[in-house]
Amino acid sequence: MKKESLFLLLIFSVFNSHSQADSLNIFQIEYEKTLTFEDTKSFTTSYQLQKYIEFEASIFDKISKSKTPNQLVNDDDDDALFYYTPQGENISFVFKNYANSKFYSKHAIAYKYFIVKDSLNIFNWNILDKTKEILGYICQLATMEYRGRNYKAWFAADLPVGGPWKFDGLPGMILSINSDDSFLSFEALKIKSFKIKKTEKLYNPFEIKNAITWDAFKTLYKKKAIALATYNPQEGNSGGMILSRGGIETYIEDDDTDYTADKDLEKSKDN
Amino acid sequence: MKKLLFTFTLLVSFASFANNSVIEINEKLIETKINKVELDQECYATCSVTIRNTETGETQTVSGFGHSHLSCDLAGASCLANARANAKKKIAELNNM
Repeated sequence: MKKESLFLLLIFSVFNSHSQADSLNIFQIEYEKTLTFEDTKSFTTSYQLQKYIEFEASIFDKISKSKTPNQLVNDDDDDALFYYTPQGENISFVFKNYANSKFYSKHAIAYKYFIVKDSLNIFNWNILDKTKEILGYICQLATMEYRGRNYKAWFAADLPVGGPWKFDGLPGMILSINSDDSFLSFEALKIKSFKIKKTEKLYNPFEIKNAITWDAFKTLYKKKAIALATYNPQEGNSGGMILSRGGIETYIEDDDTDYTADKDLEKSKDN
Repeated sequence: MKKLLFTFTLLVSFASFANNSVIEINEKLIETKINKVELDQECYATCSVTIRNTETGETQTVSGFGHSHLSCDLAGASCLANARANAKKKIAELNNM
């Protein structure tokens, strides 16, 4: 009897250790992103973050698809306002590699796409004492300035390190983040953790050998913004195309005087 | 009866597809975005349309010009129509470059 029990225990521990080595722990969080423009018109999109603990990596991607991808859609109230929702391969994708502290994302300049690599150490958080509960987790408040906007984030120290989109760098998972000007917010809606069978490696979909740095991206964007301001292939009833100095992130600083087309346009509207 | 139901379903599907795939352009004028100048009974207008990227929050603005010897309202309407057409042309060209 003793021998049989020992044998069963041995079998169980072999299977148990085998299943541990052959499985991956994944934390899956669904977020709702809200982008609110200055006239209070807002757009809500659903995203999913998957953190692969053993691979020290995460992937973040859109789960809701646009009804009108890559089309200009006229605003209901304003004839002079259009919306454009880009859709294509990995457009909303962010790949984070915690092993080398890098993350990769896709950015467009005048509809041409570039892979941008960034460091995960760029976030200068200030962690405060305030706490609140989100989806059953005690979250702590942290603030930072990031590429032109001030943010407030709530992170759960009981969950692995990570966050929606590019946001990261706190000692836990960011479950809620809002810019102070209300332009951008991400709110966690669902959290689940599960195991899957271990695959050989986690696939980074980006061609990282062609990736450019954030500074190189900003330089290219500015160059293109200056060129497009006078871009007018069909002569006649048209001016150039004036790009904004950024969107969620600032690409051209407000005090940069190399690019003036946007401010000139505002002045001409006022006159 | 089945045939009739099938045809009706097909019609509804086509109608909803057509409704979703066409960019609606309402010809209502947005006065605040149009600057008009009247010279020798000719009216010249400048205006712009804005395109917002709902993913990145970036905006692009495309200007247009319009003129009419009949009225400034017509010059404004022509301007806005030109600006809209120019925005679409530019985006199509940039996408194909």
